[in-house]
This record gives sequence, structure tokens and C-alpha cells, in this order.
Amino acid sequence: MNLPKLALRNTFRNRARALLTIGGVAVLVVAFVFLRTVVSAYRSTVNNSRSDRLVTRNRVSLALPLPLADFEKIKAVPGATTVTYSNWFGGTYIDSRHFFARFAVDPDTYFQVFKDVVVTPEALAAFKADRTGSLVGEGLVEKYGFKVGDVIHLKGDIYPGDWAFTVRGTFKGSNSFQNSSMFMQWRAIDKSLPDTQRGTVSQYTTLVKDADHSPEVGKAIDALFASSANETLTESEEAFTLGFLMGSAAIITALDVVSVVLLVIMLLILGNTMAMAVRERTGELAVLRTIGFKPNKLLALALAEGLWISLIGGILGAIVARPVIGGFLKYSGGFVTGASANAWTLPAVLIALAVGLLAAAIPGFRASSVNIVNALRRAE
Amino acid sequence: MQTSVVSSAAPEPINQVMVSLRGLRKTYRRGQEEISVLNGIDLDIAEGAFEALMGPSGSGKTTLLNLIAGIDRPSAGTIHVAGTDISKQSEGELADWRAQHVGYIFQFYNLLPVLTAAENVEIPLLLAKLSKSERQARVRTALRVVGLDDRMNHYPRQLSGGQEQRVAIARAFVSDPTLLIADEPTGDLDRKSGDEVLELLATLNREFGKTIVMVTHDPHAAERASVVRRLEKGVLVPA
Repeated sequence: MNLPKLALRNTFRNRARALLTIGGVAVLVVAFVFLRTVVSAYRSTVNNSRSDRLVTRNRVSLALPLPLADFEKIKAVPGATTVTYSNWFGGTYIDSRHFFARFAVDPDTYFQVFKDVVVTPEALAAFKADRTGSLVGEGLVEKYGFKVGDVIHLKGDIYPGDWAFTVRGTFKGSNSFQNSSMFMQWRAIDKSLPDTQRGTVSQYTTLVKDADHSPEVGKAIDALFASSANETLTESEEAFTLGFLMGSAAIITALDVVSVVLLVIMLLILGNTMAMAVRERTGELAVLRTIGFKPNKLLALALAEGLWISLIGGILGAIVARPVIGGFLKYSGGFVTGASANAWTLPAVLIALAVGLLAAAIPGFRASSVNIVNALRRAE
Repeated sequence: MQTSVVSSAAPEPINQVMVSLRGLRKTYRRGQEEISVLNGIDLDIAEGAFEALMGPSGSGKTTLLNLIAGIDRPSAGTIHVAGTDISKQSEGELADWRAQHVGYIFQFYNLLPVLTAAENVEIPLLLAKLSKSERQARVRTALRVVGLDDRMNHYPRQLSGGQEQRVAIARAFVSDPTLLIADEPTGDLDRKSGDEVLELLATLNREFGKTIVMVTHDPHAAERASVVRRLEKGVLVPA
């Protein structure tokens, strides 16, 4: 017998309450790991955005296009080195569960601007040579086993019809979002449109000479099209990506807040359980004090009990979190691939332990300061 | 008989004072009212004695017992136990002192329900610097002394009241304390179980020289003591 063992026995004294509390902690740990993993994945994608790249889109809405004629004008803006353009293709691969990003790009300029997207010259040449060719990211290769020569069939929505793109090569992006993307040629998509709708792009991406001057370059681009039929909004790639992924950075902030709320709920659940446990055991605590246990030993006993509950709940939650989050990531269609529950499971267990200690602290201090005579009298 | 639990196989001559109380007073405050429980107790208890404290409810028996055991503090007066003035000790010092010198036997046994008989008896030994094997050896010996070595792995709920009290007695003397304090040790037992418990206490006193102070309402229980004292309204009166 030792104190941790005694604490463990006390933990399961009221089995139903202990299991419910442990279950509550486990569920909260799963939710916490889930939120942190998703937020981390999005942040990782955003943080990988480069500061020397600017994204220009229609000021009214990303859904509205810009004329291709703007391309040359943007290229001529002082400070801009290279410009490329792309369209969000959309479409469906197999069904909606197999979602991943698909962009129609200009193969001549895209990889000059996105130098962090690495493609072999052979693959790029093959892509350029085939109007219906495509390049796929390594993440998609890993997920779907795509290889050169495979034909990817897509059901169009923004660009209606049945589309077939032959894989001409693969590329390695600098983040999970890029790696889970597919590129096809902008020209092929544009050609499919009625004459009146041709010659438009979703966005321009500009590589600037000096990242420190990106804001000025952005303003200069927008100034070019001020008061035109298609006013532009130019922003950093980070701001654009964040907006594109989340609609609003406020959602990530909300997820951060909810994560903290989960910890507070965990604290309250554990604190309530510990308070009840200590209150019920006042007589026994008095017996231990009579035997010669000092207040700090009783405090340690209560803290150990809080630790046991949070440790078991935390580990259980961490075990359950992996498949749950794995399933979500699979379903997310590549936007948060590369993220892993593993990164947050250990921190979540440690945080649960800290919460367990904190929750047991007040009941523990109460236990340690028990008045022996009064407690014995009450116990009788 | 094993000697690892209790220090001597034969009692020392009863001539030294184990417990000495002088001018002992205890008052409680209930709202504005001050209630006097003990009113100037002077008492000497000899080493190796088996004393019974009797008296009506509210006479201050348990309060006196708690003061001698060091779990309560006097309002005035001094308490010397085995030469130590415990009335001047801090909370921490008192806890250490209790661990070394006092074995307390409660009326309602107060065993920890989540622990087996052996584990309950082992509890006081967690405060001593003993190896696991030493602790287990002492626990086995203590349970053998109380006749429950075949119930070591039973939980309190699996024991009768008398057996529970015997486990509680084993817990009280396993660390070889100077003083055994018993508060109505037979109060919750039938006559047969009560007799067994009293016989056990008498054995600990007679064969191992343990000084025992016992509070009881039961004249039959008090008969087993070598000295019977009577407390009424907070003062000692002739028995």
C-alpha cells in the first residue's frame, strides 16, 4: 500500500461517478484535441503563405471574375516581378466526400510565382504539352494512388460537363493545402466557355521584388482598377488564404475561445467530483489525521486522486481522438490534410493533468485543514 | 509471540508516570455562550496502566481522551505524555508525535472501506521509514495477534463488527505506540464480540505492557481495567 494506490482506490470508490467523470474528461479531451488539430492545420496552411506574394481578386466578391486583360497591367506595376492567374475549378471527384482543391492555372507563369511548388521540368513540359493534362500534389498521390497516365474524371459545376484530365506529373508543395491540390490548364477551361464568358480569371497572384514593399505594390495594383467595372482587392497571400479557408479569421479565434471553454468545463467537472469525494470522506480524513498524517499528506492524497481521474480520462480521450480526428481529416477533402491528432494528444493529456491538479487543489486544501475532533463527531 | 510489532514481551514495573495532566481546562464557544467541558483536571496515569474513564454523556470523557491523544488542544493547563508537553506542540509536531506515540481505537472502527484488513493495518506504517517487506511482516504479526491473519485480504464489508474492531486494534498497535487510546471500543459490539475486544486489550496491556486509556459507558468493560476513574461535569470524582 502507498499513497498513490490509496488515491486510486478512492478514485473508484463511487464507480459510477468515477466512470462518468472520466468519460466527461475523455470527451472533453477528444473535443479539445479535435479543435486544436483543426486550428493548427489551418494556421499551418496560413503560416506557410509567403509575404512576397499578393493576391488580387474582384473587390465585390471572390465569386466574380476579373478580366484577363488586367494581367499585363498588373505585370507592369513597379515592384511586381512575375504575375500568374488561376481559376477555382470546383467540380466533383467520385462524390462530395472526395473533395480536394482543383485550380485551372497558367502553366507558363504559375510555377514562376509559386516557386515553393516543386515540379520536375519533364512533368511541367508534359503538362504544358497536353491541354487536358493535369498535375497532382503528393498528398493526392498518397491518398488516391494517382500515377502518370491515369485519367481523373470530374463532374463540373462551375464549369459544367464531364471532364477528364490525364495526370502528366506530380508536384511537391510547401504545405498540406498545396499538396492536396490538382492543377489543370486554364486555357482548356477557358476554351470550353461560351465566347461571352471567356477571358476571365478568379485571381491574380503577384510575386513582388521586396516583401517589405508588398503593401505599396498592392495599393498600386488596386489603384490601377479604381473606378473601373472590375475594381480589385489586393491583399497578402496570408490574408487571402485565411479568408479563403475560413471565411473569416474570427472563426479561428472562436475555436481558440471554445478550446479554453472546454478546459474550464473540465475544471468544473473535476472540481465538482473532487469536492463531493472530499466532503463524503471527511470522517476518514480525520482518522488519517488522528493516525498521524500531516495536512500536506492529505492534500497530496486529494491531488493524486485528481491526477488519477484526469490521467485516465486524458489517456482515454487521447486514444479515442486519433481515429475520430483521422476520420475527420479524411472527410475534409484535403483542406486540412497533413494535420495530425498526434501533435496535440500529449499536450492534451498534460493539460488534463494540470486541470486535474487545479481542480483537486481547493478540495485538497479543505481536506488538509480538516478539524479532527469536529470531523470525527460528524462521522459518528 | 512476535516482538516486531510490540516492543516488549514483559511489562515494565508500573511506577513511572506516562500521562500527566495539570489544571486541564477545555471550553467551547457556541455563539456568545462559552461552554466549559473540562474544569481543571489533574491526573496521572502510570506507565503500563489500563485505565477506564466512565461517566454520563456530556461529562467530558471523549474530550479528555482527545486531549491526551493530541487531537484536540486544551484551553488551559498542561498535558505531558511520556515526558513531552504536547500542549505546546505545533500541528506538525503533534502529527509526528501521534504517529509515534498514539494508537487510537474508535467506537465505530473507522476502517477505510476501500482497503483490505491488511492494508488498513499498514496505513500507520506508511508514516514510518520501513521497507515494504518490513511493513508486511509487521502487518502479518499484528493481524496474528488479533487472530485475523486468515482475514488479511478481506475488506471491512466482509468482516463482522467484532472482526472490524480487532482490525482497528491491530491498526492502533502495529506501529508500537506508547499509548493506546480507546473510545468506547465495545460500544457498537454485542457482548461476545465486546468481550473478545476487551480480552485483546487486556492482553496488549498485560503481555506487551501497553498503557491503555479507555472511555466506556459499560461497567462490564470497565471491570477489565486496572483503574476506573469517573468524570462528571468536567471534573474527576471518586469512582
